[in-house]
Amino acid sequence: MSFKEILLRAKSGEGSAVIILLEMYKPLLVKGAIIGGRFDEDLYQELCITLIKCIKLFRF
Amino acid sequence: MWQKNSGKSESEILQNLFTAYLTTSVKRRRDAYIQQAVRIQQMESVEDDIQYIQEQEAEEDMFRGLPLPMQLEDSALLYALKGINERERHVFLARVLDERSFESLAEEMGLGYKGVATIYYRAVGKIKKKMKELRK
Repeated sequence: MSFKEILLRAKSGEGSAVIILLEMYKPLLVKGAIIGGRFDEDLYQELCITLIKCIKLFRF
Repeated sequence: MWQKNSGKSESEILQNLFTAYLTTSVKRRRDAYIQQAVRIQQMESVEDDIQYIQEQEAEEDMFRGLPLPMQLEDSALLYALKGINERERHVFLARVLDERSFESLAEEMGLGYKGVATIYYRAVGKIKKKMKELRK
């Protein structure tokens, strides 16, 4: 399954595809959720929401 | 496992675009979150100050709410307490407020029981005199 397929499925609201993307971008989100050397769980959650929003808003 | 993205096929280009899009979005959300946290912290410190001031005011209000004779007596007592010397004040306050016995005070100050009792009664006498003075 190519990335495009996954993205399209996630866009159409398929939960499993969204989870694949979440897993795929987890390192990026974790890296973004570190403030001052400490992992901020609240921020991580916000970033997960951001990812889901991005999936919906991203156009190609 | 995920293969390394060489950015050549259409899908890989798309993935790179999406990653860039997401990175920007994550960065913005992160900055907003940090700013929000800073603002909340500032607000909290301001609120602490306000609360402290309010407490102070409440204390003053309570004092103002007391009947007039009590206020007068308090200030008269305060005036009298200022008028006596350090040692007498210590003995008087320890005896009245902390309810300490003459024995324990005598031990603490290196005096006899009688010595402390004398200081105490002398202090009481002085306070009475001062308060009478003020009332006239």
